[in-house]
Amino acid sequence: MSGWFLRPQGIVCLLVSLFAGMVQAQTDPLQSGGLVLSGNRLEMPGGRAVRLELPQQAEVSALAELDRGGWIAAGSTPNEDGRRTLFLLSAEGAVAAPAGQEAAQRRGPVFFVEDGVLQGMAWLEGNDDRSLAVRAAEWNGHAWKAAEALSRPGPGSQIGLAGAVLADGSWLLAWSAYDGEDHEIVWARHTAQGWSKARPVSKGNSVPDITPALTAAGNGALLAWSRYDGESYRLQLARFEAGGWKDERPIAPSGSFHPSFQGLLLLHQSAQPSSWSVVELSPSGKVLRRSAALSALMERPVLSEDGFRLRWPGSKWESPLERVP
Amino acid sequence: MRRPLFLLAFLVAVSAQAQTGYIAFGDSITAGVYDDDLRTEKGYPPRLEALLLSAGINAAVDNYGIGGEDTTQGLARINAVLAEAAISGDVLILMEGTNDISRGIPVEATRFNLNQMAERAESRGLTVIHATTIPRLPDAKFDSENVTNTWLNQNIRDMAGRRGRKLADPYEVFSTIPDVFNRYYYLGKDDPVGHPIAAGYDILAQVFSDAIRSVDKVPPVTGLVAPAHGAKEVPASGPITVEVWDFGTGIDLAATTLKINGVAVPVTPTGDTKKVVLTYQPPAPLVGIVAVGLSSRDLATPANTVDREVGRFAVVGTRILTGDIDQDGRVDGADLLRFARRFGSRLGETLYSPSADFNTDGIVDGQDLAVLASNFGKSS
Repeated sequence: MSGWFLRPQGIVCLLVSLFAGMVQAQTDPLQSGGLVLSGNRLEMPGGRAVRLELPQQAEVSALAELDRGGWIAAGSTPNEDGRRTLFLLSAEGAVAAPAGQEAAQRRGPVFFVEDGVLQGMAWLEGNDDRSLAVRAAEWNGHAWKAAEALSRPGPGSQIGLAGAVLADGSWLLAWSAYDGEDHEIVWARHTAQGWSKARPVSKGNSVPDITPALTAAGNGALLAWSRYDGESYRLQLARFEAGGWKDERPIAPSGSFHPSFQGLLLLHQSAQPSSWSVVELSPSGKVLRRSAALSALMERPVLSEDGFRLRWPGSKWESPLERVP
Repeated sequence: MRRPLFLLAFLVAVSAQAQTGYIAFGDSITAGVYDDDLRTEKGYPPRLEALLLSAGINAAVDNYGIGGEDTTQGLARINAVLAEAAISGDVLILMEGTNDISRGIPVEATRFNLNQMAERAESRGLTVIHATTIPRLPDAKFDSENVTNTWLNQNIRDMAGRRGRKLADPYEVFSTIPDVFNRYYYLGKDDPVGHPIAAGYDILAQVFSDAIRSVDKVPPVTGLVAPAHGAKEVPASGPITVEVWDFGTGIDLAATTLKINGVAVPVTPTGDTKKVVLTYQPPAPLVGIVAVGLSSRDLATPANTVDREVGRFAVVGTRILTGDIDQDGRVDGADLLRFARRFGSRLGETLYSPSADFNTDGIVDGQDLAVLASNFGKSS
């Protein structure tokens, strides 16, 4: 990421985006490395694209690049019997989901992938949105091992799973869980000894902490999420190191939300001015550079392959990133 | 010459009233996405203004809808809108939350956000009208079964009721229109949520107009229901609880009851004509699939009535017969129809469904049909 300079066409893009925001209604794309999934169109590095045959009413939440040009995607789909089950698609075709569904619905899966090799996945499972547990299973290269429950249903919704594989091979999982008053970000870690107990990242508070995003960084990980600050939502950042969370702090001004990571690039939306922003972070969580693309589009963009632009795959629009203080 | 004079007198009377300013705040369904291209002002707000004016109410309805917005984004925008509309705004109409469902924002947080927006408006002296979100399309990208949307709307009703705010209930109205999606929704493949077309926006405006004018056309509606619809492994002896709200003339309590598997049961009601909680304690353990129905009406003349299933769950230990695809407790023609839609599909194909692949061999074929046939006509 270099060559940051002001580009006059930003204003044009703003106007275009304002117009587009009034007439478009797109779903948010998924981006993982060089892969972008928008609707059923999977874009791959080098400009190739394929159309996936997704199940009807599919909710896709997981996408990962595998080695040797492979990929895998997962989501959930409803059945006639009222249940919602997981589905997995890979470059080689459909992959069976972990066995042992115990409740009416499974949804929101995330993958654990290390060096391009699938290690496992986690998902939400329960009878309804208010009683979802968090479950996970290991992939042995050919089949799923028995699923484990790592968080039982709580007093409200558990949602927004985000996972990462750390440098030591352990898995880190974070999500947003209702504690009876509001949502907190909780986490659990999978090592050779199994899953740790789910615990909150921060001290309890009385405001929503939602939409976590997680990325491996150095020997640990970085976690970003949105917390209500009394006025709006504001991005928080915390660093996982030596088995615990450190250096929790706001990472963007009030009115910042919807974080996602591409490596150590943190993409999020900002309200003032209306834009999508990229924060380049060091493995320790230090801010190296900030850039933004003015846009009133509410839908999540993806980073272009060259890293200089944001684009909205469901439309023709794109906007250059400009360095900001 | 009588008619022009009458019209003139009417217009003079309307203009003599102090104008009430309505701030229509929300997402694309407020903005009017997929409305008639020929309309310069889209969505329900201009229609609502026309309806109110024609009813003799001097109203101005300003459209503050932004396509794709969720409530975290709305919360960041509301202050500027309230400041901009400080002079002209008297009433905030708040309809937002459907985009939260596909962005991983929990329903409890959506409720929190909507309440924050409402409180900010109230602190400026505005009245707030909450609105439920319309049903999502059967092929919506997220929550196509409207499970989360139903829960969200139960929360919106609960919040409006507890806070003493008005409620417009488009979800209830749209849900009870026959063939609503084909008649009133945009059906293009590019719609991930579900938007009305022009005729649908007409209905939406009428719903808001009725709520503003206290014209009661909506029957009692359900709040939170327990056990939840679709729940499995439900304890056999636990109570069944259904909250019922009415935001119009009130609930006719004497005519309100629960039905368990189609049969009216004695309930313990607590509450009043605005909200009542119906609790049924089964005298003996429940078994199998349990359908919970609500039969009620309001105090309007003529009464608005409701008599429909509000939930269905499976008691612990219930053995669902193989072939009972819709899990209604029996293997019948309805299951056969659902099976037929999937016949010939393979794992990985769009039409494939594990619920029709009874022998789990990855293909829905004659072997599965034979399994269904062996149980045809049997009940759990």
